[in-house]
Amino acid sequence: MSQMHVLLIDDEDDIREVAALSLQAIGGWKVSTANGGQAGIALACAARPDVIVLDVMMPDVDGPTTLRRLQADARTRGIPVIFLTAKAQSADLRGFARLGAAGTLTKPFDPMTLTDQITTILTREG
Amino acid sequence: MIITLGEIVRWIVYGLRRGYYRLARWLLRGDRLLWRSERKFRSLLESAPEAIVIIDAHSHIALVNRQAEQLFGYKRQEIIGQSISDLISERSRAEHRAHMRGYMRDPDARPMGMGPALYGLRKDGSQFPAEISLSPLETDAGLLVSSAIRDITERREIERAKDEFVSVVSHELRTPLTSIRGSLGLLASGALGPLPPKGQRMVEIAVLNTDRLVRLINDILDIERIDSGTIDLHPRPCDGAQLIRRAIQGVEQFADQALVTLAAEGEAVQMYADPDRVHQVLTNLISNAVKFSPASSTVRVRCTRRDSEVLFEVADDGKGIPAGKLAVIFERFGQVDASDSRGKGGTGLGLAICRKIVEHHGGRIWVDSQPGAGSTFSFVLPAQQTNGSPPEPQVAL
Repeated sequence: MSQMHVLLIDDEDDIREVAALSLQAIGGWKVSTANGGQAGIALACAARPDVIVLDVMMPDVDGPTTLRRLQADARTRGIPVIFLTAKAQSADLRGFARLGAAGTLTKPFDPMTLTDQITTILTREG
Repeated sequence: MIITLGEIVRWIVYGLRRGYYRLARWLLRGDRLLWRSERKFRSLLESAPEAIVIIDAHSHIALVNRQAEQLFGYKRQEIIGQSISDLISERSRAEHRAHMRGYMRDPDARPMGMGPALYGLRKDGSQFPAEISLSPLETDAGLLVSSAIRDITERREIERAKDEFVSVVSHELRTPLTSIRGSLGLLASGALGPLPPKGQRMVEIAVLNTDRLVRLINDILDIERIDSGTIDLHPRPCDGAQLIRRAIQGVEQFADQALVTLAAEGEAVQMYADPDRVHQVLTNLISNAVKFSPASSTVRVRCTRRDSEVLFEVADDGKGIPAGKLAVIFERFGQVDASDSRGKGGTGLGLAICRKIVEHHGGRIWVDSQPGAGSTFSFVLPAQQTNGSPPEPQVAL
């Protein structure tokens, strides 16, 4: 099986760094990062990652808008998107599911289980 | 002695007169007392700080006070004799009618703040969220119901602002905590290389306390959401025994570490509730029971159908709760010992959240305990959906 490639889109530098390190060190995955929705969409079109982990609240283009644009583009439509968010209320989670996200991970996350959580969501999505 | 017929007639007339005057005096005194009593009642009614509306058994308005006139914008002569529905917003009428039917079957005093807020309707058509208390009044004319009504528009606005504040603060706290928790977790796991033993211990302590802080933020957010009425309840048919099994699964690892056995008892019990929230309550009660149980003991969890309710019980053989603490154990930060939250990793909000969730379902929660003899935490939830809507809360207009 080829190495999993994750695109991580989050405007918080520290969170990007910690999450990327976790995915690389624990999962042995390849990680690309973008610091906002606009940059993330461009990178997704170019790199075609296996999965996109997407922050919800970002200043330039927020997570839901980024997701909609990814879904509207034939090049990125098939890439599963998982929200990574500090908005963890059940109403929020249902809202994310309705948008078409494959799943939601809540902040703070456990770096030791982050790869497992992403794998579980992708397996469930089938 | 010879008594003439005239004298007999005179005595009879005299006796009748005395009787008549006595009767009249008695009646006048009774009337005066009645009048005084009624005046006192009206004075009390008018001096009440809340709007009071008194209705008869047919839901017709019998009496209102000045505050009610001001609140609804009607003169009393305009609404006395009208249906109470005229003061209820269209969106609350069906719910109100259902509650009134239930109340008339079992009329008792129901305090303010425990029931759902209905919407009142003013003469000018404007609406306002209202909180209501009910009291039955037994009178010669039959049962009357006195409702004290409070406009809670302002309080709702404050709650909304508070909720928004808590939500923003929670988000702003979670963001830096994500980096802290992630960094510490990677360090503690050894994924970035080994640490010296003391350094390892310090990082592990930091991880534990970061997790505790995250739980506290989650709990504060949860309880504020419940308090402000923005709790998400999604009741549906579910099986109590299945919920117990699911909750036990989630706590099993923790119980194994504490050398405590978890035992599920009872059979399938169908009920109508929000399974995620009942799971939250059960998880909380079982975790608590494990925390306070001695090693090698058993925590027993069961549910049984009891009339129209489902009873859940979580029993442990722990140190028990002193009688003086039983009343506050479900309050926020109402632990038996404040050091409990530090020593046992709790936030002090778990039982308060449990109580809120159970009460939002229209249920009750309590504890039976004696120091040294263990504790049994119990809660009941309505077993069935009523009138196509969630089970009736305990209090209504």
